[in-house]
Amino acid sequence: MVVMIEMNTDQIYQLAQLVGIKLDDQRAEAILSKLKTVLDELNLIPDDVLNGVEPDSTFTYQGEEVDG
Amino acid sequence: MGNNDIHYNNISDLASKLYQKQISPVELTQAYLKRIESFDDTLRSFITVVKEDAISRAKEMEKTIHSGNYIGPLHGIPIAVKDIIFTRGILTTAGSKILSTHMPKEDSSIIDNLMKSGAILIGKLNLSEFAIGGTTVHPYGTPRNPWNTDHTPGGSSSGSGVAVAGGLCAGALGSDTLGSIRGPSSYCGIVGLRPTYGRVSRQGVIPMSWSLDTIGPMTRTVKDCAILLRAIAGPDRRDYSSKAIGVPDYLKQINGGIQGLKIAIPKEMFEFEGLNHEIRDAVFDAITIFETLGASLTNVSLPMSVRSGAIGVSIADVEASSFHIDNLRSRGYEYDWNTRNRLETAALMPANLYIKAQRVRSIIRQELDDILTTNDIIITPTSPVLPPIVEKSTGLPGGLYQGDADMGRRRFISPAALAGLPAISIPCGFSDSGLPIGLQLIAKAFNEELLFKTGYSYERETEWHSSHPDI
Repeated sequence: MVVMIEMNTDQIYQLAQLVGIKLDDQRAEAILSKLKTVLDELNLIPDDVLNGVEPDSTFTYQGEEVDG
Repeated sequence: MGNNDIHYNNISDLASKLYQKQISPVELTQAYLKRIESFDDTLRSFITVVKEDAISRAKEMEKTIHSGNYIGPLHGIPIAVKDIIFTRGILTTAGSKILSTHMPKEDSSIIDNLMKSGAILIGKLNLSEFAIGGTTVHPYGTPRNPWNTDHTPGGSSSGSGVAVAGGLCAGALGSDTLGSIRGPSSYCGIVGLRPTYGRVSRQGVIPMSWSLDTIGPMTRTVKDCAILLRAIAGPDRRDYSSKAIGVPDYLKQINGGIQGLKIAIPKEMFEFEGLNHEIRDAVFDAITIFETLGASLTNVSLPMSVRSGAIGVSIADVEASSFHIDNLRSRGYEYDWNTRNRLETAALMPANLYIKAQRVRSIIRQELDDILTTNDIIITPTSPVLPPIVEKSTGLPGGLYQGDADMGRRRFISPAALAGLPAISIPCGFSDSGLPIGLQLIAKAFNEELLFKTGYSYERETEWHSSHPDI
């Protein structure tokens, strides 16, 4: 199931406060716009395709010897 | 500008002339310095030109060549590097006001390697702020595409693309997190390689994204790209991601041809509705040439690559925001408007979505690995669009995010980056308006040799690499 996230600038201000970033209205709107786009894209990927998939951030290449 | 002018000579040709003492490193360095002085007020490819150091180094290299101690094909060759690479005692700004007085105390490992090869550092090249891309106001001047200065050279290795295409240096280094070498190479009509993650040390390079950053060569020909990669590649104990895998002599097999090569054509790239028809035609023309040279073609699918733009941005920007968080809190106003927007947005990204992006990255990597198990090379356009005009490429400070356009463009260059695979952009034509077009080849990890061999086979059949902008 794909869930689209509802967000508004009040939530952006709250999150920014937690992170320690001060915003003005123009930047809060711009952040909201970008964050929505990225989150909507990510949410188009159904969670069930990720069953059994681990996060990948370091690489071991085919044929490479690994210790341990 | 005639094509036989010394500044447009290939590194391999220059090396032969230097070895035979037909030209001297000092003459060559002076020729590039003169070009920079004449044209860089408009092109804005350099942030710092190290004129005196370069001449002094050129004299030193001239002496060693004349004394019979020739090192190799980069000996006496003037090279410029992106201004995120640490150079001892030379301003290293990362294209940001925040580092406007930053003088590293040490050279990076790749500068050490370049110096060992006998190269001459001629200057530091302009870029999108902190290599993040989409800078709206460049504090050190807006880089311009030498093929048409109304258009962008792309980013973030903007200056590297401009300086190489404009004949302001013999070759350059750029960095590629999610396409920052391949994009400008395509837009500027040059060759640019993103090496396998771990092939080239990242030590002494200001990071954008620890898990995606790579440093690679940008040159006018495939052979030059191979020469430059060989000089900078190899294991480095000072970089934990560096792999202890030997660096082959890429020139040894470069003439070998591509008879029997298996090339995969992913439908998601060629059926993309935002793909410019001139680019599609140029890349299909190139595919026909590969087939004529003995390659076989297979249509394949990379379904998750459609989402790779969002995945790449989610990972790279979140990692970048972690690196920049202190400055965002205390000196946020000193960042470019758009850089700040990207970093602040990423700082607010929920952790579970960052992890989701990393899990999708695993799927994208598996898709590419599966295709490269039964095929040797994946071919795509490097960019679906021609270089936009400068203002449209960056938007305006305060503007809203152009999500669809950005994500569409990124789906072409993000998959190889997310999978840690090597990918090269090679010139394959021009639009009717005279703007360059590039194709991208992706290979298995650490098989840069095959990319060079394939690219060189194509280059021998075409003249695109011999065209230079009339600046």
